[in-house]
Amino acid sequence: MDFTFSPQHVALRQMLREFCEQELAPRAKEVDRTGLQDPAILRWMGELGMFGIPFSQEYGGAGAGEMGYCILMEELNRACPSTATIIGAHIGIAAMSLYLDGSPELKRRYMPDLCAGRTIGAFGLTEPGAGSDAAGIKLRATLEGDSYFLDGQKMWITNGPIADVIMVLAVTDPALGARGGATCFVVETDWPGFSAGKPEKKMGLHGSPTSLLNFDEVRVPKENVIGQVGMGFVTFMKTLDIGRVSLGAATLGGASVALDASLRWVKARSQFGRPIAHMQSIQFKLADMATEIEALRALVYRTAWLVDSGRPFVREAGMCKLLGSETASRCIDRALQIHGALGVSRDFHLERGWRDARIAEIFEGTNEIQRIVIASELLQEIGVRIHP
Amino acid sequence: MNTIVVVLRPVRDPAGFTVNRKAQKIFSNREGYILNPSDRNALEAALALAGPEGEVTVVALGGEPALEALRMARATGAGRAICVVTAGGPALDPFGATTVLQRVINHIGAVDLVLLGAVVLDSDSAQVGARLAAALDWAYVDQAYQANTLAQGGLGLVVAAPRGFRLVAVDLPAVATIARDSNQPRFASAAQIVTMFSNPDAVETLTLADLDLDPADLTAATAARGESFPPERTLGQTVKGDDGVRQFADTLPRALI
Repeated sequence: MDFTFSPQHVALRQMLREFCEQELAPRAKEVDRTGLQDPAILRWMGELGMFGIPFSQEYGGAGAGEMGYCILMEELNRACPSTATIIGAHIGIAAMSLYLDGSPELKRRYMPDLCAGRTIGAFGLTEPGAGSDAAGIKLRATLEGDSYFLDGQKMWITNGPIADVIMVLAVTDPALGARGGATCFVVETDWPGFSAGKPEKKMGLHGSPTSLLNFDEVRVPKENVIGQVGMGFVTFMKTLDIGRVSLGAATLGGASVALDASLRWVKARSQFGRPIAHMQSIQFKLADMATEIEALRALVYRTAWLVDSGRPFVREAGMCKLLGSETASRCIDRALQIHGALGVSRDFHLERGWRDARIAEIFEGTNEIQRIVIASELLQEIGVRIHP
Repeated sequence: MNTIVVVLRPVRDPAGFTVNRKAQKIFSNREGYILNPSDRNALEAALALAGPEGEVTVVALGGEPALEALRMARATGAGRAICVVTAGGPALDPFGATTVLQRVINHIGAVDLVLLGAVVLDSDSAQVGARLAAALDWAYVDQAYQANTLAQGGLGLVVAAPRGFRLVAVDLPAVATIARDSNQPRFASAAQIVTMFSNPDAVETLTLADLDLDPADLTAATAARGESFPPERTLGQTVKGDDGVRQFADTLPRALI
C-alpha cells in the first residue's frame, strides 16, 4: 500500500492551489454578492485545462484522471464554491455523460470545446415532477425523419443560464418507461425552441447560476444521441455514480478550508488571558474536525483510485457524497462556532462557506438517495435486491 | 536570440520551519521543497523574452527535488531541461555550483543569456550569478526587474537605482539575476503537467563525469562554522504631522533599496 500522491498529482495540486488562492479566493466574496462570474477568469481556467482535467488528451482533456479531477474540485471548493460548482456540473456530469457513452464522432465534435472551456456544459435530469424519482421524467423526444423533437421542461439545472451545450435525458418510448424508454441527447442551446429561465435565488452558491430549461419542439439530429436509443437512463445513472466522487472531493475542500481558518484563528484570538487554542472546548472541536476530514480524504482519494484503476466504485462513490456533504456541513458549523461573532459576519468567508455547503446534502442525489444506493450495493452482495 | 538558460534551485519550503530565537534553534516540522521564488521570476522573464519561437533551457543541480522543479518548468513552457545529478557527491558551495554550471553552459552551446533568481531563500550568498559571469567572461547585471531585447541588438535590463529605476544595455552573451516579484509567473497548464510528469524523457540527466568533472574539482572553498540568528525585527519608523507625506515619500526609496 502506498498512500502518497504521485509527483504528477503533487505538481498539479501545487499549480491549482496557487491559481485558486491568487485568482479565485480574492474574488469569491464579490461573486457571492453579485452572483456574477468574470468570464475572463473562466476562459483562463479553460486555457489551463481545468474544464477537461479528467478526460484523455485525445479529446482535448488534460489526462489527469479521476484523481486529478478530485484534486481540482478540492482546491476549487477551498477558494470559491460557486466556481467549483460551475466546473463540477460541467465536467462531472455534463461532459462526463458524453465521455462515458458518446460515440467517437460525437465526442470529437463536442469534447475539445468542452475541455478547453470554449463551451460550457449542463446536465438536464431533474424536472418539475421528477427529482429523486429520476425515472419519472416526462420531457418527450419524438422521432420524425432523421431528427428528434424535444418538448418539455427541466428544472434546477446547474449552469442552465450559461450553458452552450446541454446533455438532456428525454423519454423516447413512454411505454418502456425509464429503463429502455429514455434517451440521452446533446442539445446546443442556440437551437430554435430552447430557452433558459431566470437564475434561481438560492441560499448559497450565488455565483453558480441555476435555472429552468424550456424545450419547445427543439429539433435535435439523430447523431446527437449519446450512446444507444433507450439507454439514456443507464448513461445518466453511471454519470451520477462517478460524479459523486468529485462532489465528495469538493466537500473535502470546504471542510478543510474551515479547519485551516480555525487553526489560524485559535492562535490569534485570546480570551481569559491566553490564545483560545489552549481551551479544551476548542481543542475537541479541532480534533473532531481533523479526524472527520482525514477519514473523508482517505475515502475520496481511495475511491478516485478505484475509478482510475477500473475497479467497482459505486458504493464508495455514494459514501464520498454522503460523508463529504455531512462532514463539510458539520466542520464549517464548528468553525463558525470557534470564530464566534466573526463566524457569522458577511465580511468573513465562513458565513458564505456555511451557506454554500448545505446544498451538497441535496443535489446530485439527496443524502437519503445515497443511503439507498449504499444499502442497495451492500444488500446485493448478500443476494437481496431492493426497490426504492 | 539563441538559447536562454535559466538556473533553477529548489529550496526547503520555509512554511515547514519554525524558528525559536530564545533556544537559538530551527525546528523542521515537515520536509518539502518549493522552487526558489525569484527563480520563478527568472523563468518567467526568460519565457517572455524568448516568445513562442525562442528556446529556453532550464538547468538544475541535485536529486529528486531538482528533477521535479525541472519537470514543472517544462510544463510551464521551457523547451529543454537538464539535471546535473550531484546527489551523493560533495556539498556544493557557490564555487562548486559555479564550476558545474559553467560546464553545463558550455555543454549546451550557443547560449546567449543565463538568468537566475536574484536571491536564494535557504543559503543566499548572492555569488553564483556573478561568479558564473566572471568564469564565462560575460557581462553581468544584478537584480533586474525587467528584461527586453533592444532594437539595436543586445538586451535592455531595468535595474533599481537610488531614486527609481535605470535601463542598462548589455551586449550578449550575458548573465543576469532577476528580482523577486518583478513579474507575475505564468501557470503551467494541467495537460502539460500530466505530460511532463509522465514523460521519462522530459528531463535530460548529466553526471559530473559527463561534464568531465572530478568531485575533487568541486571541493568547497568555504566552510560553515555554525548558525547565528539575526536580531528580532523592530517596528519601523513612524511619520506624523502635516509634513508626514513628504517625509514618507523621502524615506520610502531609501527603505526599498
